[in-house]
This record gives sequence, C-alpha cells and structure tokens, in this order.
Amino acid sequence: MSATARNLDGVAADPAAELEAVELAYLDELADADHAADFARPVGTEYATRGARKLKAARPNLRMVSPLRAERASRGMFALIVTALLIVGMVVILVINTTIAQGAFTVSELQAQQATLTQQEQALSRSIAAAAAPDALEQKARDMGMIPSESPVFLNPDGSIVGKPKPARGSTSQPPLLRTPADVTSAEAVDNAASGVAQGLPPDYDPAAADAAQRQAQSFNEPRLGPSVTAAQRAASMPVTLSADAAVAASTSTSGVVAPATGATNTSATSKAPAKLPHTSTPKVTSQWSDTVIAVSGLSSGDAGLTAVPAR
Amino acid sequence: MSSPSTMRRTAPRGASSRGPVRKTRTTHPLVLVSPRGRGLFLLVATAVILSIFGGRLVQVQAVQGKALASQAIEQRLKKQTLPAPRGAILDSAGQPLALTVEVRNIVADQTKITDPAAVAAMLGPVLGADPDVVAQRLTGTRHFMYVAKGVTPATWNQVLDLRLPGITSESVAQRVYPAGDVASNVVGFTGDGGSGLGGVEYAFQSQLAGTAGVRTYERGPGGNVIPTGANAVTAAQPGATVKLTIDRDIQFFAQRALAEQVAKAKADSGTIVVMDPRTGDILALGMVPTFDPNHPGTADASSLGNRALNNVFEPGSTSKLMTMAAVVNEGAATPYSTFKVRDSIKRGDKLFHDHDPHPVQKLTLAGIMAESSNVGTIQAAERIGGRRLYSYLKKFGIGLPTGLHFPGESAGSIPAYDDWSPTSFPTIAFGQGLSVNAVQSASVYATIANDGVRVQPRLVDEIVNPDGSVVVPPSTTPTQVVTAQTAQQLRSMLESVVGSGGTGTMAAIPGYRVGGKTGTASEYREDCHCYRGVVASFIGMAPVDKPQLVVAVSIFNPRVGHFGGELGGPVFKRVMTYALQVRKIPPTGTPSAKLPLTYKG
Repeated sequence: MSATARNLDGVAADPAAELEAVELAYLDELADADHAADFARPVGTEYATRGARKLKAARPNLRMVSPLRAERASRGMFALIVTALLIVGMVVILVINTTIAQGAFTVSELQAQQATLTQQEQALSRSIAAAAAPDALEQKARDMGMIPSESPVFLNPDGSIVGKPKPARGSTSQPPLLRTPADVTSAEAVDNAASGVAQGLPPDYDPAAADAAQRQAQSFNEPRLGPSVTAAQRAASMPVTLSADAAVAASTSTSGVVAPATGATNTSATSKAPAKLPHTSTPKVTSQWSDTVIAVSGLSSGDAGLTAVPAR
Repeated sequence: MSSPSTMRRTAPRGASSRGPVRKTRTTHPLVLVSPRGRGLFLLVATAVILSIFGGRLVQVQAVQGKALASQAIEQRLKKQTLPAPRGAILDSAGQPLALTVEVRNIVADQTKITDPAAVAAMLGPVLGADPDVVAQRLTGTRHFMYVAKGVTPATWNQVLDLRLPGITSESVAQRVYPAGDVASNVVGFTGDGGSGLGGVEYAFQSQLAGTAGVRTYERGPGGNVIPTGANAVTAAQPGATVKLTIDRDIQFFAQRALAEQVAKAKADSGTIVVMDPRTGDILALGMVPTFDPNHPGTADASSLGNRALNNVFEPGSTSKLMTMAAVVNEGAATPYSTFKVRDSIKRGDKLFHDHDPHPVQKLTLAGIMAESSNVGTIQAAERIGGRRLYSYLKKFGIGLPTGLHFPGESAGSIPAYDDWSPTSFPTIAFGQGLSVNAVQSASVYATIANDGVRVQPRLVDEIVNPDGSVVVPPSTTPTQVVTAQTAQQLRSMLESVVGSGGTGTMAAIPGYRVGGKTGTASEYREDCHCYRGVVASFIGMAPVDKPQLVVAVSIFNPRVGHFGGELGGPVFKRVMTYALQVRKIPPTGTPSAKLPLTYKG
C-alpha cells in the first residue's frame, strides 16, 4: 500500500502530457492490486476498457462487485424499517403507559369510592347501633306510651293464657336512670384536641345527630325502596299487644322511614323487648302478650320507625 | 508507519522555534500532516475519556451499585402502614357492644392560613365550635396543629367542601361503644393507642387487634403514585370478633334495676349476675357504680374494674344452701327432718345468735332455710361434720377460679380444713369466714338449678376469626356435686324461702314458681380490718321445677334498709320477670311444693 501512495503523489506532481503512459503503467501496476476497479473508475471508460481487455487477457481472475444501486436500495429500506419499528414501538409504549395510567386512575377512583362507601356503611351501622341501644329503645317505647310489664303472660296456640295477667303499674314518663349517650364520640372533638383545656363546644352539640337529621331529610327525597307493607298493616294483621297510644303511633309511622331494601334485610337492628300489657284502654288488636319484638327499621334515632313485628 | 508520525512531531516544533518566519510555512501547507495522526489522537483521547467513564461506570454499577440502587428506591418507595381494623365485641344476639369506626382528626398548617379569623368563622359552625377557639388554633407558626379530633367523616366532608387552604385531616380508627355503659365493666375500654385496657378488650387484646398491613409503592416528587413502579400491598389482617354470652337487653335492664336500688338504699355498690344454669352462660353481669367506656377517663378508677369478679365478700346466709346441700346429699337429713332451734348456741368460746331473739322453735330443715336460722344451720351441719362440709364447699367451687380468666379476677378463699379453729366450723356453716365473688355465689345456685351438675360459667361465647373459623374458649367438664334428687329437694326448700313465712317473699313473681335465698352478711372492710356494714343479697332461680335462669343480686353497705330480702328481693323480681319474658320462658304451671316449715310434737 505504501507503494501506491507514493505513486499517487507522483501523479499529482507530474505534468499531464505524460498522462497516457503513466496511466498504462499505473494500470499495470494496479493489476496486482485487489482494488483495481476502484482506481480504474476515475480514469475514464476508454482507457479502462482497453486496459481491462488487456488485463483480462493476462489475468482472468477479476471479480464482479455487487451493483451499487442494489446496495443503496437495501440501505434505504433498512432505514425505513428501523424508523417504522421505532415509531410503532413508541406508539405501543405510549398506548401501554396510557392504559396503565388509566388503570391507576380507575383504581384510585374505585378506592376512593370504596372508602366513601365504607364510611357511609360505618356511619349507618353506628346510627343503627345507637338507635338500637337498649335505652334508646326503651325511651322510644315509653314515648309511645308503653310501660314495662310486671307479670309475664303467655298465649298458647289454642288461645289459653299461661300466667296471671294484671295491669302494669308505673308512669310512662319515668325516665331511665342510666344515661347511655348514643353517640358521644364526636361531641368533644374540639375538646379532645385541646387535651384538657376547656373549650367552648356547646355541651348538647352532637354531629352524629346532625348527620342523622341530614340523612333523614335526604331519605324523604329518595324513592322508597322497601316493600310498602307498613307498620300499621303488620300491626293489624298480627296479634300484637300495644297500648292504645302505641297502636296509634304504629299506624302513624306509616309516613316514617321505610328502610331501603338492602338495609331492611341486613342492617335493620332487632332488639328483643317484651310487649306490654294494655294499660289504659282496651287494645284494638288481639293480645299475644309477650311474643313480640320491636324492630327498628329506621336509621336515625330521631325518627326511627318502631314497628311491632312477630318474633322470629 | 513511523515516517508520518515523525513528520507530524517535527513540524510543529520547527514552526514554534522559528516563530515569526511564517512565509516558509505558507509554502509548506498542512496538507503534509497525515489525517491518520489526528485519528490516532482522537482515538487515544476517546479511549482515555471512555476509560474514565468506564471506570466510573464500574464504580457506580459494580462497587457502589447495590447501595446506590437501594438509596434510590428508598427515595421513591413509600411505606404506608395499613392499620388492622379492631374486631367488634358483640352480645349473644350479635348486637354490637364495641365497634371500631373511622373518624378524622382535623389538622391545620398555621403558616398557610393568612386570615385565621375568617377561616375560623367558616370552620366553627361546621365543627359546632366557638370560632374564637378555632381561630386560636389556627394562629401561629406551627405546621401541624390539631383543630378537632375524632369528627365524623361526614363532618370532614363538610369541611372539605369549604376548600380551606392549610386545613387537612388524618384518618384514625375510633372505638365506639354504642350501648354506652351497658356491660361496660365486662367489655372494658381502650386507651389512646387503641389497645384494650380493661375487661374483654384487655383480656382478648391479641385476638381483637389483628395484624397491621403494609402498602409499599413508588411515588414521584409530588407524592403521586408512579403507576408502573413497584406496588406491593400486604393486606391488614382484621381482628377477630369476640361474641359474649351477655344479652344486651337483659344486661341493660338488670343494670338499671340494680342502679335504682343502690341509689334508693344509698349503698356503696352493687352487683347482679344473670345466668343460664344449664349452660353456665352469663346473660348479664352488671355492677354499680359503672362507667361509660366512651369516656373512661371521666370515671372513678375504682369503677373501671369488674366488681362481680374482682371483689370478694363473705356470702352469709346465701351460703347456707351449700351446707344444706351437703347435709341432704350425705343423707344426714331431709327437708322434713326436725330440729329444736334456740336463738343462740355456744360453740368453741363463742356464742352464735340468730338474727332476732326468739323462743325455742320446732323447725324442719326447710323451715331453718326459710327463716335463715344460723343456730339451726349449725345444728344441721354438725350432722355431717366439718371435713365433709369442707369437701362439699370445695366441690361447689369455693376458693377456686371461675374459669372465666377475666383480668383481675379474685377466686375468693376458704381456710384449709386443717387450719380450722373450733369456731371456724359453725361460722363457715352459715356463710361467714369464707369469701366468694358474685359469679361464684351465682354458680352455686346454678349448680342446684342444674340438678346438681356444676357447669363452668361462661362469658365469652366464641371468637370468630376474620376467615370465618370459630374458636370456642375451653371449658372444664361439668361435675356432679350433689345428686339430682338432692338438688330437687333443695329447690323445694328454696321455694319455701320465697313462700309465706320465708325471708324472701318480696322476690315472688305471680304465676311462676320461684326459689331463692336471702343473705345479710357482715361485710369485712379492708380499710379498717373490721366488720362494718352489710352485704344484702338475694340469689334465686325460676321456674323452680325446671330452672332456666339464676339471678344473683348483692348490694354492698346499704344505709337505707338492711336485709337481703327487702333490698335484693325486689331487684331479683324485676330482673327475673323481665328475663323470663325476653327468654320466652313460660310458667310451668305445676303446684308449688309447700314444704312444712314447722312441726308439732
């Protein structure tokens, strides 16, 4: 290769007059070289053909090179494919990422929804628990004019009475001695934060009661989902002991809360309480004395529909 | 290859030495310098730079790789503890006695609140608090200040709607006791950290607490979750639900009836036990004074425990049932056996009296029980002797734990027979000189009610794990203390106590056959190491011929009234009446035994 280099330098330096001779010599020399075709190209077709013919005769082992045009075409195609692949790949990644991100959004949305529903469920079961607390039920029953029975009496299926029925004594307005606050947890929220410092929360403030009232108001605007069998209908169809006042209360509770279907089956709290003996006047319904439970199907303690239903 | 490099090296040197002679340089252009030299230079330079990079790469990736990677992941990874919801405590019907709900603590970043007064004016009405107080909390330079603790999520949503900058909230679990002080001494209470500090909350802490979970996720600088990043959730294992044998309604009624009587008698305290003798299930375990578990801090510390299990007292006359059971079961006497009973009897160096002075009475064994004669009981007990009496008392469970494993439970005591002094035997025969807790004394009557078979009392019905599996606390095998026939005879004797001529007429329930025993014991006081005041009690069962309920009432140190029959009897009657209705126990309709109390001859 160093010889070629020198000759190239020589060509550049020598006058053009000797071109042909030099060319021939040059080509002769090149015949040994592997890249004869490369060097022949700039020289011109006439000489090359001549020289080639001459060379062919002398040395027949000149090889064909691949056509340049084909090479160019394949390179272009290659670039095109690569670019296309790149674009397609990027689009796919973008789509996947978008999908995943979309999924993440959906997940967080559903999680938020779940949290809200859990909160609602908790708030509702808390209200139910508060309304179904024994003292709340007792107060409700007293408000309806019921008083505790002092002599348990049972009615046999054949209609005979077991036990000695006698009118119950006592005042309906007698307040329970124990105070069991239905929901006291929120009332002193601000007080709690003060950790001991007296604060100006009104003592009778009860956020849960406020919540309950709000829900109550909302429930009137919602369609009634429960079966329209009302407390009064049930009271009339079942032999239930209620004092006159209570019977009226039960019939008026028609306009009260009918628990949503789901709540009615799952969350309605049932607490056993014996029916009370007739106190003031003859009841309008037949007596079963004590096989009765009071079911609270409402949600708030404020206006829970107290219904008398047969014991399960 | 050597010549071009030599040329390249010499050329710049020549140029610099010649300095100003530039004409010669223009005649020899740089063309002569080979491009290979430049390539080599670039090659070397690139190699050097790349090897520096490479070295650094090895250092970062291989040497410090793990440490750096973990540092990086730590920066992004956020570990969030998922608190385990505490299990509920339910009554026998599944009604909640203790619940855990989510509440919010409202927090203010004081530095972000520019106008505290205006914010407080909006916040105050929602929280139901005085705006001035709220404003105080909002003023300052603290980044974290509680404004309100434990508000409902609904209230927080209202606050959220106000869109107040600097006001955030944290979610916390709160223990709620919807029935308030109903069964509070059984259920117990929790502390600030949410762990149980008393009662079942304390005894079953490990089951109720559950196991906290962890959520690990990668987050961006803004705190947002990186969706494609690592995201692992170990779900929290919720606590188990503890279901008690307590019936919330009976518990409430019993607690209130007792509270009314304690107030009326101006007594120090009282306990009431309602039990199903066939299963040992405790349906109600009430005491006065009590506390509201929603605010355990406001109650007197002495009210937080469980008096019915932790306080022991000398049972007095109610204990005569055991003496009589031993005598009858040993065949030493029948309810019809006759005794000539004086109003006092001297044993050892001591004279034992009946409550009231009386002439010599001709009483049957049933009559001794009905009139609660101490002298007669001593006479009857002497037919079997101290050693046999002692063995029966032990079989009834005196001085032994109830098996409830309740925190702070006291088993009571009875001196070992070998330690008995000459006066021990007569004293113990009528119920002094030994101590029991309220559940133990109820258990004695439950044994007689259950045809002489002693069943271990139960307070925890079952523990329901989150996976649905149910664990029933172990119970000892029931033991036959006296024969069924003995038990039946004793129940007839108890019925005569409530009948006319007995001490417990105030406990009678019309239509039902009721049996029971009054007790008016001297109360031993730890504070003065002396006997002062009394324990007035009544323990009974119904229906006598097929008992399904036992109610034990004890009232400590009454100042108005004195006798167990007059103080305990009415409470027993009210509670038993109510419980019979709730449990739907009809009268049996059989005639009462009407044992003769006296005899002629």
